[in-house]
Amino acid sequence: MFLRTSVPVYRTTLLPRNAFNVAGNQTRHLMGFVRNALGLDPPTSPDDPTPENRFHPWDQSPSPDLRERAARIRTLARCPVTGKEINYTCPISGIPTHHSREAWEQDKEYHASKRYELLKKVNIYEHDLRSGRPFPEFDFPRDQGQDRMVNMTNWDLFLYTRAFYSMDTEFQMAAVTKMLSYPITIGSVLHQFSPYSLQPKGPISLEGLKSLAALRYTLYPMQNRLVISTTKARPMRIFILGARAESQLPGHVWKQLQYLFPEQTFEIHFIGPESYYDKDKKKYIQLTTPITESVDETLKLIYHTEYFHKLHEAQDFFPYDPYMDVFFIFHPGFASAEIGEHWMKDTMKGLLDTKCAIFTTGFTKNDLLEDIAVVQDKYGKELDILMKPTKNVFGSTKWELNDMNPQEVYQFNMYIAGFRGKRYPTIKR
Amino acid sequence: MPLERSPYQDPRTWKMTPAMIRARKPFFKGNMIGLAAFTGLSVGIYFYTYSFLHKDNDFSDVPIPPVSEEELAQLRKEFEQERQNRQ
Repeated sequence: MFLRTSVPVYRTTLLPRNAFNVAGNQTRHLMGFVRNALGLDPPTSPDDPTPENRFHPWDQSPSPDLRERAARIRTLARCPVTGKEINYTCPISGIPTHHSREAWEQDKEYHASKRYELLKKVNIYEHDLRSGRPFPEFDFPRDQGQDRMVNMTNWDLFLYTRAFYSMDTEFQMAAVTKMLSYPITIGSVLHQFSPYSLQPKGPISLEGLKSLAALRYTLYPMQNRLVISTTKARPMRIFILGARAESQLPGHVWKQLQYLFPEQTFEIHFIGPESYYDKDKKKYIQLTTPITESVDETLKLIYHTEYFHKLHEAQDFFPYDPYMDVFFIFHPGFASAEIGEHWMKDTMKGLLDTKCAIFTTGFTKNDLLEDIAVVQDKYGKELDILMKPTKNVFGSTKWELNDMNPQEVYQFNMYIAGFRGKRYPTIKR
Repeated sequence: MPLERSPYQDPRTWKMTPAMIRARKPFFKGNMIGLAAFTGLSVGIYFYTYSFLHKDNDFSDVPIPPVSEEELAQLRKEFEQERQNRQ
C-alpha cells in the first residue's frame, strides 16, 4: 500500500525572530494610519502564502523535484477508472490522477468525495515549502515557568500555551505540525492533561490507565514527593522502533518533548536499520556501536541501527521497567505485505515480553485498524489493548499523497492506538 | 522592564491574530454564557435596588394634626410676610 521507505524531513535554517519584523521599520503613510485607526488589516505581502499563489500544476511546477515527482506518479500509478497509465492532470488539484479527461469526468467517487480538495492541499503545501519564503514559525520556544500550564486539547491550544510563533495560515501549521507531530504525540499520550480520557468517554482502557499511571508516576516526581525514594535515579527511556523520518529530526525538536516534562530526564532510543542518516554520505549507514547525541543534560538521542529483536536478545536494554520505559512505533505497517513479516515474529514477541506500554500510529484509519487487527489475530491472548484506535489529536496537518496511487491521501500519525504484553496479577482470585 | 509583547497580537493593530482566535474558539461558548450570566446578575441587582429605593414618597403615611381655620390664616400671613422680607 504505502511506500514504507524513508520520508525525507525538510530542514530549514533557523533564522532569528527579528529578521522578519519588517513592518515596524516601514514608514507609516497617512493611509496606513487611517487603516490602523479603523482596525483594518494591513495589506498582505506577496510573500504570504495563499492557496492561489501557491498553486501550480505539478507538471509545470517551478520546482524541479515536484516536476520529477509528477513524472514518477505517471510511471508508477495507474488510472483508477481505465486501469491505463496516468496521462491527465486534474485541473482542480494540479496533480496527475487519471488517464484522460473522459476518465476524470467519469470518476464519480473522486468528485463526490471531493478528494481533489485534499489533493490540492498536498499540491499547495509542497509548493509552499519550496517557495523560499521566510519560516519564522520554525523558531521554537524555550522552557516556560511552572505557573504557565500547557493545554493539550488540540494543536492551536498547545501552540498558544507554549507561546509558539503565531501560525495564522494553514501553511505554517502544516510545516510545523509535520515536524512536531512525533515528539508532541508522545507528549500528549503521557502528559497529565492528555486529551485522551478513560473509556467510555475516551479511548483509554483500564489496563491503559494502569500503564499510563505508572509512567506519570515517573514523569511527575514532585507530585509524588512522599514516596520519592521509590523512583529510580535513571532517565526515562522512550524507544522508537523502525525509526525513519523521526530519527532525522534535529535535537531542538525533540527538546520540545522534554519541555513538557521539566522534572524528568529522557533518553530517546531510535532503533532500526534506517535510524541513522548520514548527512555527508546522504544515505542510511549501519553502525557497529550505537551513537549517542546529547542535546543537553536532560535529553539524549541514541541511534541503534540494529533490529529491535537482536538488541532485545542481547539484553542490551535489560532490565525493562514499565514505570520508566515506553515504546512508540510510528507507522509500522504490521499488516503490510512487504515488511509485516519483519515485525510480527521476533520483534513483536520481544515487545510483548517487555510488558511496557507500546503505542503505534497509522497513516490512515484503515492502515492502523489493519495493523491492530493483525497483531490481535496473532497475539490476541498475550496482549491487552491500552488505547482503542482513535484519531491522533497531534497528528500532522500536512496532507501527503502516495506516489503509487495519487488518490490515496494521508497524514502522518493520523490515528493512534496502544497495546501491551499481558501482565498477570501475583494473586489469583 | 515592560511586559513582554504577546506574539499573538498584531504588532501594528494590536488585534488578536487568527491563531489566537482559533485557540480561543473552544472557550467562546462558555465565555459568552458566563458573560450573559454575570451581566444579567449585576444589571438585575442594579434595577432591583433602583426600583426599591426610587419610589415617589409623599409622606402620606405621616399623620397630619388637625389645624383650625384661624390658625391656617395666621400661618399663611406669616408665610407671605417672610417671603416679602426675603425679596
